[in-house]
Amino acid sequence: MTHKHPGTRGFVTMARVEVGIILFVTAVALIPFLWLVLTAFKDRTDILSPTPMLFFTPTWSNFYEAFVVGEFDRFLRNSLMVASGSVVMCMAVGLPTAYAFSRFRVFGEKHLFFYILTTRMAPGIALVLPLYMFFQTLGFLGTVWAVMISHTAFNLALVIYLMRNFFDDIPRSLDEAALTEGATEFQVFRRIVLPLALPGIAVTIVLAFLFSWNEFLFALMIGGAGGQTLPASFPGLVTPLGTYWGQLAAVSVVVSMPVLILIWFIQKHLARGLTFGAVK
Amino acid sequence: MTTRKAKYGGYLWLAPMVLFLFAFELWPFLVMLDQSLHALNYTQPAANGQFVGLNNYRKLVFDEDFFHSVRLTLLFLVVALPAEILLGISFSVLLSYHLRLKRFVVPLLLIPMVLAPIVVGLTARLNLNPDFGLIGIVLRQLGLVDSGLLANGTSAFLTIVAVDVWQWTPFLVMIFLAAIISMPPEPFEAAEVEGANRWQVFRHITFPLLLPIIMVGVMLRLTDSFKIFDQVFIMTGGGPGASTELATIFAYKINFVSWNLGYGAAVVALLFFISFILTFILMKLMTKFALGAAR
Repeated sequence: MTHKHPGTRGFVTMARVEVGIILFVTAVALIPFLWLVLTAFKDRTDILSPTPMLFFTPTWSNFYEAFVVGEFDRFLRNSLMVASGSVVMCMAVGLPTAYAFSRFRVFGEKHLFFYILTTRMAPGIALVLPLYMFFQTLGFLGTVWAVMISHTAFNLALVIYLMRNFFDDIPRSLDEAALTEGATEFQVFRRIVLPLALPGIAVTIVLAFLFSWNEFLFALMIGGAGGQTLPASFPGLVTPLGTYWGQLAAVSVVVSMPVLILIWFIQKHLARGLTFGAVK
Repeated sequence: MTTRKAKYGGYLWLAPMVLFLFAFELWPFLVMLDQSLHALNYTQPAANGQFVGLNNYRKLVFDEDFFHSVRLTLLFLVVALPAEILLGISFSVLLSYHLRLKRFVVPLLLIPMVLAPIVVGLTARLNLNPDFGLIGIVLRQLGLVDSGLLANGTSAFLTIVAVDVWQWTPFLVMIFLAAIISMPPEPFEAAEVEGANRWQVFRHITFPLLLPIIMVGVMLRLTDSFKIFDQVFIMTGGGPGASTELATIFAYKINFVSWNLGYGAAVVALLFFISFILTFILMKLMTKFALGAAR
């Protein structure tokens, strides 16, 4: 799998310096977030201490304040509903589309792709405003359903592109064999291609879930009061009276933990997923 | 790659997506375009709903604040993108010399880029706080920055760039390293036999082979930097003054702070137009570099 890079041997001192640089950069990438995690378990005086506090008595009070007293559990519920709901929608709409793009010569493929890609390229605000006006007219503004649909709208591009990439990996000779045996196109999709694409589907589901889970602007503007997710609850903790750092950190930890756990499972496929399949 | 003909041009398979696109993307977009031709401002309700033709667009063309925000976005791209690409290449090549560290280093490096952008912004804001943030305290005690990096226009702008570099360089390291590892071993073995040094190997073998993936990285970062919002929103909200007011922040403020939705629709329509052009260029480049065809 790997190859030797010439010049590695015979540079022992340099190799040590290099390992030092690598470890330093890793620490730089990690420490700011660790600081935030520590903050979540500190009480107010420890958080605001002018000397960095590494050793302190850990407390759950920030989590209690946010999720019990502040009733942030409703935002957590919204987050879970929105992310899982939008994944279901993405898959229901995206899987047949990706299959068609992978297997058939379909009408207007190029233009549809351009259209789909644009939804991925456009800044969030450019997608939020039309949906905001749209849901306002319909009276759906401020519901989890509106957030779910808007998250589907921006995740669909990723799901279609990625699933087409995974479907393309499955040899077409299998479909053709089944088709000559008299299977219908839907049976090929349902019984041959889908089961073989299962790992790819799992990766796509995780990514679509995480993009929805992490999303901020749609949840803030379209979610309003009734459909607010955890990320959208952040600005509410930055008040004119002060910033509730402890609670912000606690909510951040709750938002980040599922992300880190899920990413751990799909890290081998992450490069492919985040480059739309351009890197394997 | 052979494709077959589907019954009825495959529209049965595409129907769910076409319905979704029309109902939830195209239709809202048309609603917004229509809105951009009308006056709608919650703070001045008297004129609401009045047809104003292209007035909103005319206003936009002469809006110095808008052009300031577009300039800032471009400046952001020009500073952040080369920094990320150069750091990404250097670090991935460095890591490729020490592959035994990969298992341990790469999962940790992934953390900044998978965090919610809003958490990234909050992390930066907490750490940079001059009174109790880890980096803020260090900077103050070194006597470098007294009132925090986000308090001054220039340093605030450079800070949002630095945070973007912090968040996204690991992504480039990840894809570049994956590409380096999967390169064919033969040219490297030949170079070793020839006694080439590391720089020559990088210059004549690694870099040319990496170039397509570098282009992928450039394109993805280009479009993502154009979209950046959450981090800046929670870190500076566009301030101090308008020193970090990127185009996306400007569009947000016009719509959801000033509630000038008619004019805001014109701003957003123009941003959309810009991303259409970016997408078009991207598609052309993707065809040129035969992106994905190498698979």
